[in-house]
Amino acid sequence: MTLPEPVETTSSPLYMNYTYVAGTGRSVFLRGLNERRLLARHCPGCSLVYAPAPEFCSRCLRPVGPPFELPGTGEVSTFCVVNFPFPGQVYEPPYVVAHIMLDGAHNRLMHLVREVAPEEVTIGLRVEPVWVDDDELDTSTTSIRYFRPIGRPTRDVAAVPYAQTPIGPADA
Amino acid sequence: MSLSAPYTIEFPFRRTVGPKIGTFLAGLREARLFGVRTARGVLCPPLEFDPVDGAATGELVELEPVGTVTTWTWVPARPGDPVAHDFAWALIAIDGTVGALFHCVDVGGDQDQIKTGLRVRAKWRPDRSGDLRDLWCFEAEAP
Amino acid sequence: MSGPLAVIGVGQSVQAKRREVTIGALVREAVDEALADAELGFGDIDAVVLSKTPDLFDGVMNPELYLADAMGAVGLPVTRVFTGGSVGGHAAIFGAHLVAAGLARRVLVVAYSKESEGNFTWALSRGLPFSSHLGAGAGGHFAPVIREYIRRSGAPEHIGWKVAVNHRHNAARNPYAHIRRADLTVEEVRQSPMLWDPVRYLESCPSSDGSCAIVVTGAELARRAPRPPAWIHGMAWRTETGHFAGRDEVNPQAGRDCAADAYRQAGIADPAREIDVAELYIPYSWYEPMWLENTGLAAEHDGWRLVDADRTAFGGDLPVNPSGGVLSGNPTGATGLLRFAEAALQVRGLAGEHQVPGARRAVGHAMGGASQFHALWVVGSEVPG
Ligand SMILES: [Zn+2]
Repeated sequence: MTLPEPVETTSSPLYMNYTYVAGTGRSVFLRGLNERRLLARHCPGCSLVYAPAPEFCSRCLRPVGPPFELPGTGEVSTFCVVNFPFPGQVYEPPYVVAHIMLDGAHNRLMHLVREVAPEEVTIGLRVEPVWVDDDELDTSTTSIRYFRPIGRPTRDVAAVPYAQTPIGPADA
Repeated sequence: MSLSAPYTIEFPFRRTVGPKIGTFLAGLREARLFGVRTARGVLCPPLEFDPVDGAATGELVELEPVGTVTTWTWVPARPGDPVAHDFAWALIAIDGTVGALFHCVDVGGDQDQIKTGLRVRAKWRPDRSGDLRDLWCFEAEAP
Repeated sequence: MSGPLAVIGVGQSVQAKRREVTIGALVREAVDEALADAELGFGDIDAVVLSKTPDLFDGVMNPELYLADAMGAVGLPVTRVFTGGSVGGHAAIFGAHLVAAGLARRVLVVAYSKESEGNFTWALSRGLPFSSHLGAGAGGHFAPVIREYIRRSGAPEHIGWKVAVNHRHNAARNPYAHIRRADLTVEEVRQSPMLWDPVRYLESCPSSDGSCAIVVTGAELARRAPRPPAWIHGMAWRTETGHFAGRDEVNPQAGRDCAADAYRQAGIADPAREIDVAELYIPYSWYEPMWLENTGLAAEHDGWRLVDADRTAFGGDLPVNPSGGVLSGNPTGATGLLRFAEAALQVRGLAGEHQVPGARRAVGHAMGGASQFHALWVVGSEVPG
């Protein structure tokens, strides 16, 4: 008996349709973006301010307070420069993806930093949002086209604080 | 109220099938049926490891594509099914094997013709690609 | 508690792109080797624990069912543990807990990934509704954290290159490693493409297929094992969420707490002096100084100085990742268990060419998610006292 030459691999595609639910907390932030507003919320437990805000503080597990608007300016906490192409990539490399701490907030928003050469971006760089036109506004972070520098870093980058609040319920 | 949106996940995985199942699939392409030896008898379809004791399975053996229906369920035909009319999904014990193969049994849409113990024979598709669908269905053996 | 616990069997597959084997056969390579090391058969095992990373990496859902035959789990309780990249470490600890709780006498802990069946970077970079599509693979997440470490610590840029070289040189002594480069130089790392600035190609882990398995048991059976056991002196896992105000991802609190708990159990007051070798979860070279600090093996901001002074190289006083580590092979589902297993091999004296001479106490460490999951164990050649 001669055996046939084995098949080596088979296609095993996966296709699933879901409904993605943003969550009531995040939806407040997303609806703000649709109106060019950056909304923050305060945790009554640890007194820290979230922007974007979840429904509950992840440290204290307490519901956060009512939304209020931030000025929208902020600071690059840290960043990387994406330098290579990969499948499904939306932006042409190189581009800067930054963690932006909005003024008045204690957590960070991830977004692009443009209108500046990647090699000139620094930790501590002051930035502001550049919003899309009215017809492109959406309940999405895509309502912000990107952040751009506003002048030079106002602080010595070496002095930017990093020793942050310890974890745990502040009001335990 | 939370915002929500449709979200689709789609990935084109390719799975390595290994020498045992790979030979089984290649056999189907040639309209040949293979099983694999284990300590307790031949398994068809073949597996890499015996599901009872986890031991690696042995050599491949060619089988006559004939067997006996051990149990079945009658289903109405839907788009994409192997045959266009109502049929049975059945477990078929291939002659000379232990265990069973899950496949379609076509009895011409007449539920009265399907029964446990029915002798069936494989019907092959004319165009075959090394896939379980090369085995079109099983049909009742002429009495 | 059943008293001291130990690892009595370790097995692993060769890490590479393994297109020729099925997932089941890949898993079986490690299982067979671990059982052979312990001179046991499937009949000697009472429970099986499986470690695997996200299902979208290879498209297998319910792997604990899919692999029940390959793992020899028929008729036994089987549990899948899942905590992202740290999962192998958590699975080892979970397996040890089953023995400690008296629920099993010998537990087989199995781990694998077969990433060649899917696309790892793509699976991690899918856009979600309501957001700009900024994802750029795992490196896109960790690179900004690395930049923050570099700024805080004032480390010079050659530290990252040096770690990349050390680990690949170590891997050249490990026949199971994916990337084995005895000839790699700092200059070659420095010249390699910048992927996620500040992370270069040769400072990044590969995507690998591979598996690992260990057998964990209690003191009585460990004393009867054919080869020296690795005694578990302390083990801990900790979790923190990914996004909370005030989070420090450079030196996560959960990682510090995890290490401190394991050292407390082990009676270790000065880990840098009392640990002979550390196998840490380092997917990008800069995570060596970062995790040295986070796990208490170096003072804050000083981790890079240990690298600079060659103290963490193979001949140093605190060798890190003698196996070559994650930078030399990254089957994500098995990566955490491989770290724990390497620590065990070192204190058993069975690490072959990458054996650190006289290793008596070793750390195995794993991290998962966005540094949200941390697992660490301290194993030793002596029964814990
Ligand atoms: Zn709070």
